[in-house]
Amino acid sequence: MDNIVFGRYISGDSALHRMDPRAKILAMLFLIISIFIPSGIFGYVFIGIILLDGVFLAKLSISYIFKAMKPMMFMMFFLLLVNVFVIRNGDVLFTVFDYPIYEKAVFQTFYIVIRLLFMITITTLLTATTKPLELTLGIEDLLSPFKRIGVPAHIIAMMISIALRYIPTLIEETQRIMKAQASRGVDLEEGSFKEKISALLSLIIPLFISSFQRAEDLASAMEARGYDPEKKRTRYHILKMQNMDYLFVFFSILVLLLVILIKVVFYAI
Amino acid sequence: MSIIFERLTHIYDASLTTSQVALHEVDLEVMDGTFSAIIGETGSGKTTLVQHINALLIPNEGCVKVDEFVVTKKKKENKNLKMLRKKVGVVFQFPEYQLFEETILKDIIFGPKNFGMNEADAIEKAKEVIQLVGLDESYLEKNPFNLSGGQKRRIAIAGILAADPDILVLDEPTAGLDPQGAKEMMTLFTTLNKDHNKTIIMVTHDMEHVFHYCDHVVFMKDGKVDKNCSTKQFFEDIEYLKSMDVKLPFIIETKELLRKKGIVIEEYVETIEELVNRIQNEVKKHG
Repeated sequence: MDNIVFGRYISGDSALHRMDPRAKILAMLFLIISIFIPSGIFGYVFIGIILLDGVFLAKLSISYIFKAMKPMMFMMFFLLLVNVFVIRNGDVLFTVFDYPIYEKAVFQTFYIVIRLLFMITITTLLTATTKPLELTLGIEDLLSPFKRIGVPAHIIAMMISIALRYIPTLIEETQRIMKAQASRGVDLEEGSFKEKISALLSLIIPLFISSFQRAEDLASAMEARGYDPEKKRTRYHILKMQNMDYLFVFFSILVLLLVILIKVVFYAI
Repeated sequence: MSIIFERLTHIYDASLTTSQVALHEVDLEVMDGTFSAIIGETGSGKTTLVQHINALLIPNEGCVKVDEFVVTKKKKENKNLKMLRKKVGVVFQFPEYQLFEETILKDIIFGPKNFGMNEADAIEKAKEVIQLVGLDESYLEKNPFNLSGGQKRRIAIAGILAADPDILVLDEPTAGLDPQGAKEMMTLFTTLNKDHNKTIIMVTHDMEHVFHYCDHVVFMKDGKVDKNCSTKQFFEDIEYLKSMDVKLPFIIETKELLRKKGIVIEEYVETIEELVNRIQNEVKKHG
């Protein structure tokens, strides 16, 4: 539980840390779109190089990115397995126990894994270099044009920031209740299926109760201080896009265009 | 038959750069049948220490021995943790948060059943412990979530007592209770200690409770045991208490103020009545 790296903010003072959160979110969007363009091996090598630069810019280590992927490993492995055996296109590459494995299957699977890898890298780059509060301010600003069609930008941002804020608290609470129930003989590892279910219930119900309690307390505390989501609010930190930020967004759009170009040139349909 | 800590070291996040040494080579023995208080500032390692007694935390170095059970850092050798946990009941801070069943009876028998007691025996035990904590059998069919905070805490404690532990570890059991509720709680623990022969280890910040109810004091500072002695010895060493910023219990503080005014009471006084009598004697002596 203590080793969850994915989504955690790493304090630092890199070029990416200093960047405007809105620029980072926009760049992330463009990069993710470019990942999902099937641009073949050249496209992915190109994106890979760009992302490596990103990791370098954020002053993170490659091993940290891999650590962030750890929880996803099982899913990736599963995807890999299913895809390799299910897709039946192209030429037969080789056979495993009389089961033919197709060329397309291997390539497709490879691309899926690469895409996931890149996705995690990009999101980790964003969350590791952006404070949760900045992130939500960024989201709020980016959503504000949609206010006209009734999107409650501020409320969404507030909900996200509260949710992010309470993740560590919830983990702490879970550990505490786990210990308390372990003292009452709960064993989450051993025992029959029925025992495991009741063990899980002994954890989830108290967690729910304390979460509701906490939510009510927080709501009262906010109301007591006159919080009203409909009111216009001023901010202590005012986000301001610098030239660097525009350049960064421009650069990410460029990457997207280049990837499209690669696709058109090498894989014209 | 006692709890022995040997060169116990515990480090949080040992593998990360943010590692924190919570306990540093703690040597301590808690004798059977005692009512010991563990005190010290927040962050001095009290809770970490007591959570080793039933292996909720595993030492990074050293070991904890509870009778035949030995808990060390070697995970494979730590067998029978469940039996150790039956023997050592731990009541957490705000234990009311561990309630989850829809009736109080079910919640109380949850622990004993986990430890292998059959349902009929567990229900008998529940009827016994609910009275022990000062409620009556009519509560057993009620929903625990409809009770007041103090009552919920009694139910949670009853849930621990129902497993019939020999050793009871209490982590700030009176936090958040009103003075009357706290007093009743402390009386309950004294009964368990004196009449039911349970060894009690209590983490607390309340010096009045330490002074009036405990017979041993373990003072923790920066992850080490700084002082381990009888309550009497502890509160007689005024210089030490002052150097450690310990809040003096009312009686000790009164004695200290009297001493400054020239009225010296040498004897260790435990009750207010006794203190009043002593003062009266001193005043008479000086005419």
